[in-house]
Amino acid sequence: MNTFIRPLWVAALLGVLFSSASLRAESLDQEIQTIKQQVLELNRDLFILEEELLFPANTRLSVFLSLDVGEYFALDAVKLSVDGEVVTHYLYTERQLDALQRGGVQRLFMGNIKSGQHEIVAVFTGRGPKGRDYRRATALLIDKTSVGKNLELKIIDSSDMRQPEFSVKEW
Amino acid sequence: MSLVVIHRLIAGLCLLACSVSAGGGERATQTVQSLGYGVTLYHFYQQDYFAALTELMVAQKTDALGVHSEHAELLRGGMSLSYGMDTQAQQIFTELLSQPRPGVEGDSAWFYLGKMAWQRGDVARAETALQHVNALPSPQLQQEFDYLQTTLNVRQGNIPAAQQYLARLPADSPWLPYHYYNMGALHAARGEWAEAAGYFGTMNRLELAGEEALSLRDRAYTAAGFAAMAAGDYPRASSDFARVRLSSPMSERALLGYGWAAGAQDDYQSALSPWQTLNQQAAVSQAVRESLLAVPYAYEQLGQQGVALVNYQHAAQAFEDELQAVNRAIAAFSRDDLQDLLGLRGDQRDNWLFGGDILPRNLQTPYLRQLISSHAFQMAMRELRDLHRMEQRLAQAAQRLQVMTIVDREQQQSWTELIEQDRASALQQRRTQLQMQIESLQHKLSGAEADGDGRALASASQIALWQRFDQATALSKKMDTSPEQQFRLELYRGLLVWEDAEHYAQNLWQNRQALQQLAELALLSEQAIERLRETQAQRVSSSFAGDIAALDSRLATQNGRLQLAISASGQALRQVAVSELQQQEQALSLSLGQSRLAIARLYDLGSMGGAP
Repeated sequence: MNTFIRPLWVAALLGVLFSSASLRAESLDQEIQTIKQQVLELNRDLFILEEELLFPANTRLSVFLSLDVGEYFALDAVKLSVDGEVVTHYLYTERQLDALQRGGVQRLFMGNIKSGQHEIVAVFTGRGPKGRDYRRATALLIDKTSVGKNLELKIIDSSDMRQPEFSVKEW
Repeated sequence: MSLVVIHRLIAGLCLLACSVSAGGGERATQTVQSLGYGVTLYHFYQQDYFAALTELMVAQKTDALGVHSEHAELLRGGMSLSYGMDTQAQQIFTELLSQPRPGVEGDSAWFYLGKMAWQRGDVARAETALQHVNALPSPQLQQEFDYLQTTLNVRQGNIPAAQQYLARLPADSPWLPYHYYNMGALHAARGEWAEAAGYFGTMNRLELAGEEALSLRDRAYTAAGFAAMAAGDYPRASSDFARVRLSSPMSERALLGYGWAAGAQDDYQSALSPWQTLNQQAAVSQAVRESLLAVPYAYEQLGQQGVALVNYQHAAQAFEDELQAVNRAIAAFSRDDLQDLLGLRGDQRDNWLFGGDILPRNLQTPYLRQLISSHAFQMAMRELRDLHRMEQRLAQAAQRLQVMTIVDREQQQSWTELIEQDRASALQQRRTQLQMQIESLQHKLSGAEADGDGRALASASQIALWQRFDQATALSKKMDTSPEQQFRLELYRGLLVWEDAEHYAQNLWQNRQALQQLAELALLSEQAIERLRETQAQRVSSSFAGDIAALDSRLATQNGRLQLAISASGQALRQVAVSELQQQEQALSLSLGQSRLAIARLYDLGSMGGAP
């Protein structure tokens, strides 16, 4: 074989066999992991301080949403009102619904209200039994005290009634 | 890997003993017992690991996990691993999974930890993690584990152990081709061509399905062809190269090799066909560039110096063009934004285990295709991507801290004003006056009740009438009043007494009610004043300013470290990319020199009366 081309195919063979490059520095790996952990801890402490400062317990209202449905209701959107004023309107993606259906709980709203009685209304829209458009509301009168108020909006399938059920749980 | 499988695996990793359903698209079988844990799962199932880890750590710190506390830490370990924090994950698993735990399937956790350490090139850590694995929950995972152990042991020269793990792989295991390919590569690297060809040839007997396996087989055929050439077996080399699919990423090298194998047998006519096919393609890859010189070389061997000259000129032009393009790529990778060059800006994936490769597309990256597909480069790109996302999160944190500083300052201001104006004391003074009035009224009411004094409870209009009567009586004593006038005065007094007596019971009840309401009001206002005083005292002693300043300081420290890490990580990527491009530049310069020399040689030959 001619010596002109032999080095070329040797190079090609090496190219086929050893394609990875070495650029890993272990200390940098560790440093990056440490930074990630510390940024997470910073974010955690920031979150806690934000809650204490911006949403103190004596005025805090948190509303969560959970699902245990599939057969009788497919959620599209939720509209939440406090004392007649809409505080949030949420449209769900398929990925978010999947997370909810598998046991995830969404923090839907966090805000401040005064002590005393308040009316919470949640309007759910989606597709109900037999794929028809479905719109239902659930309301709750709450008494806000100096303790933070946590509410969970729950949508569950009712096998007995063959309908979805909407309820509110106070934690 | 499908989303469903990802979720099942991760869930299997961390959540087997939890009360929530883990299968994709399945319904939750039981409501979570902690809102914080539920919110964590909401982000976790969306593979938003930063948000999920933050929620979980908040719930852990505020002790809000209830019955989920036990598994929360395991979940944190699993999510840390998925987020590329395998050291953190290892600490958690070592602490919680060193001993078997009922209901918790820890083998998968150790397996994925070992796999990531292996991908990072940390063989020792990979070995340590894999030693914890007893039995994996699925045959697929078990086969991958056996393959990884085989590879690790081969690498460390422990062939008996490697053979034991290899023997556990079934004949149809998708990991067998990878093993045979690795063994072939190992022998080829040692120059043991016959052994290498044997391993590469084994893949020919395997029934493979799927693009990934077929690509690997193409790679093996190509390597086998070169190994056969090295051993001097050119017919076999041609046969191996011919097996590579034309649609394969390896087809360029196989075409090049096929030509060389023919050339080595002095069959340059046959060599021309694959080389000319390559010649038509953009000269981005090494194989196409080499074919640019190989084609005129073949024509020379066939005695067609004129055609060879034209092809050398074509090659020289192509090399010049490519040199310019490679130099532009070197300049770009030396100074341009790596996030743009590597397509990191829009990549929102957090998942290190199943997130897939980062495949940037721009004018420069075709020159680095092989480099970019390597594990090491992919890892480095993920790290740089994550670091830039951390940078964004720290910028958001700075904004949030700014908002909190403003809110805290305003709240502090209003509380200070409250204290300076001593609103609580003023309220207390008014409260004291109110209490005195109540007591006076109580005393008066008690007296009237004891004496049956209706006049004391009379209404304002009745009191006015009594006042007029008293004035008239006083006047009558000073003046000489007639009996008639005396009689009228007595009549008026009788009427007023009768009125008082008539309304006594009603007035008494109304006054008692009013007094009771006043007393209740006084009690409420006392409680309100007390609350105000308590809040003032707490507020003065617990300002958030210190906490905000501490977080601000931590943020500045993290920002400093982050910028250094971004710089180091980017520099490492630039260095390896530029180094790769510089090698191409040198090879192109060499090829350009060779083509120019060949052109000059052919012109000389022509001038001396030769063919051109």
